[in-house]
Amino acid sequence: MNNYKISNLSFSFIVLCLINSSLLGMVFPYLVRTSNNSILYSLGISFILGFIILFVFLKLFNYEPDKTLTEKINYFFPKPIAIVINIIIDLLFFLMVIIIFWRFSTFISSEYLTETPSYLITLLLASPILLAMLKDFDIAARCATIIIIGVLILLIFSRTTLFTYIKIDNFKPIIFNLKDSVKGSGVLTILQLMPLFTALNIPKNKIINNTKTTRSLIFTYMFSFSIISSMIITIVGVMGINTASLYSYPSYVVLKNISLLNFINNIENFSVIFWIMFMSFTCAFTLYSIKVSISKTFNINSNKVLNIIILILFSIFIGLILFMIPYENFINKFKDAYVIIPFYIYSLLFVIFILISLFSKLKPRC
Amino acid sequence: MKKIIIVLIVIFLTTGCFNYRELNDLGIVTAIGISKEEDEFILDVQLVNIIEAGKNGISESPITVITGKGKTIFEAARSLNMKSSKIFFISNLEYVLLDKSVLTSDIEQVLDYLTRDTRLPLNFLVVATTDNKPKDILSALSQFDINSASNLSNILKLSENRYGETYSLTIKDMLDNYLGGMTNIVYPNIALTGDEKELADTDNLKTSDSDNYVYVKDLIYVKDDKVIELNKDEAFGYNFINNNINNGTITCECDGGYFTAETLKSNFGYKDNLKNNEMIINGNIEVEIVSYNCKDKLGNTKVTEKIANQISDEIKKYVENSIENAENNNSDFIGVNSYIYKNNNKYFNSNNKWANEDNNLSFKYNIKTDIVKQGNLRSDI
Repeated sequence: MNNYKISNLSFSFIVLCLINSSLLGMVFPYLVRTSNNSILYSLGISFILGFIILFVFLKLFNYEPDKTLTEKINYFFPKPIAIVINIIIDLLFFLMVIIIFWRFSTFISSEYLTETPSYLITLLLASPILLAMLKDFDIAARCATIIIIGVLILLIFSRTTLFTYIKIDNFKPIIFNLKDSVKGSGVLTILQLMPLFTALNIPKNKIINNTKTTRSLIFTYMFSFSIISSMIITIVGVMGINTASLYSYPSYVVLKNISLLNFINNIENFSVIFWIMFMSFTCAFTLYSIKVSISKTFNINSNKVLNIIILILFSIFIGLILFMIPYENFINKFKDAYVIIPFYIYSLLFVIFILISLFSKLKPRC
Repeated sequence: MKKIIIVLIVIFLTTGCFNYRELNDLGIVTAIGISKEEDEFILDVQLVNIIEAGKNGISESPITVITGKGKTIFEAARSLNMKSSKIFFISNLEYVLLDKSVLTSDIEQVLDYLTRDTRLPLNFLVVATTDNKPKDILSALSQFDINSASNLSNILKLSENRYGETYSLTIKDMLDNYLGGMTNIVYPNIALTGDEKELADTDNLKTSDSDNYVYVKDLIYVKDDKVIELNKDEAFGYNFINNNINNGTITCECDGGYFTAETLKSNFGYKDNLKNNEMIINGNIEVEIVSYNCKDKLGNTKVTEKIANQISDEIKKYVENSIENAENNNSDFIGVNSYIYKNNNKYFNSNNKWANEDNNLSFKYNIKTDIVKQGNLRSDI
């Protein structure tokens, strides 16, 4: 890890990229179908629940500001236990990055490159991720800045265009169904915010003016939630709940309604780029975070050894994705496995992080 | 050096040339027709021919229509490859024409085919034909546009916006209506006059007074495997209730002749008073007098008020007619049940659905017309 420091804004951009990564392929299709007419209630509940996760994150983030997550765990626990915890966390994050990337490559192959072999798509999409994971977090911050600038332009353009197609009637009837609302909001909160914990591998003191980081994180969360709300409002308002529930990627299909000057059609392929960027970024950043964690857990200081580990990790990553692609339809259909599995993985991670934050209270600061 | 190697790899490997298709290999599909015969779907595909129009117009047909058959619509589509050397490009689809035979029984399969394919847009039109075969309509050449598919979709959009008797149904709206499950889907019904063979002949384009053309006949919906047509008044009523009209034309009789008003703004909506089993239809319309041949002087404010009331009454008559049609056929194509479901869910769940014989919902009308323009003239001639 180098001595480069990033600004609060750059850190917020990284956070923004991470917490939007699971929305297109996982959260939205499930949320629309499960919450159905209670979707607005789900949004409200999720907004409040999000602060709980944010609180746990900030608790860990603010503790021992010069340490990465792995170093904090090494500090809290005896060495053998710390190694086990670190390996479990890395493994769970690794599983998540596989699921995110799998959804990413199946999205590309089903919507754009229907006749291109899956392995080619996977390799093509994975190569920039490999390149990015080799770099440090300062490069990630620069990438996130570029992504967010592009995303904001596309987002403002697509949302303002789509807002004109919204029919208020499509939101009706607004029915409060406790079970549906809680299910939808639980998935939205967990899948939206849990990738954020990979950012714990950036020590707080690597952020310039870090006394303001907590405030900027809360603003970032609120800003991100306003983006999500605008997405949900446009999906439901333009397509209607019934039609939106029908599609695998409603947030992509809704973009098909946009036509510029009434004759430039099919620009959804361009507008959807921001989702692709979020997903690529999160995959790269999570793998980077795992790389940092491995090096800290096992005290690997040699670049050569680390690069070999990265290559092994990356090969397993590619191998698993290629193995999973033929089962796309099965995993999609089987009891919403594409959402339920990540939900359980992230929930387990959340429990681990709560326990770690509780342990942090027992251990005096150094 | 490393960077140069990466740039070179990117240049040579990410050119998009993998699995590419030349434009000449593509058959650009502008319209398709779907019908059913003896348990098999028949798919008629209209392809655009890239031709050059000479000084004296065109000598060869700008379109080609080919037909495939299959147990499913997709199979019928793929069977076309036995007849054509082109790979079909469907992203530019203008409209889909549904025959009576699929309207009554296979609409689910049609919707599945039209929405499952990721390459299809969501804004192409869906039209029906009850009097002709889809192939005859697809083969018809247009005198107004070299691309007959865009000619028909423009006819639909124009007649919806500038006349009011028809409307353009997009696949998205059709899917919405179907999945809602409460409203019968209303289709524009296309027909052709004259001889279908002459219509498909380029010679038909050489004459200035041809009687052969494709036109929008009326609006239809399907109830219990039966196709029900809406007459002109009912179609106007349906379009007013659903706010499909931009510039509708309303002609009323008056002392000495007729006058015509063009709607400039029309905003309709339901309100309910379900405690008293009553639905209220509110309408606010702004019109311009575009033709006036009556004895009463238009400059008089009492006369303009009288005319405005007459227009309101005429529109009320249209709406009443469409409601009557729905009640007579026990079908809800004007969206009353959908409104009640969305706005008064309790009532919807505990009462009989509207348009059933045992539902006693009554309608009240509150339609207000404002004359905001009279054209160039201050009064009348």
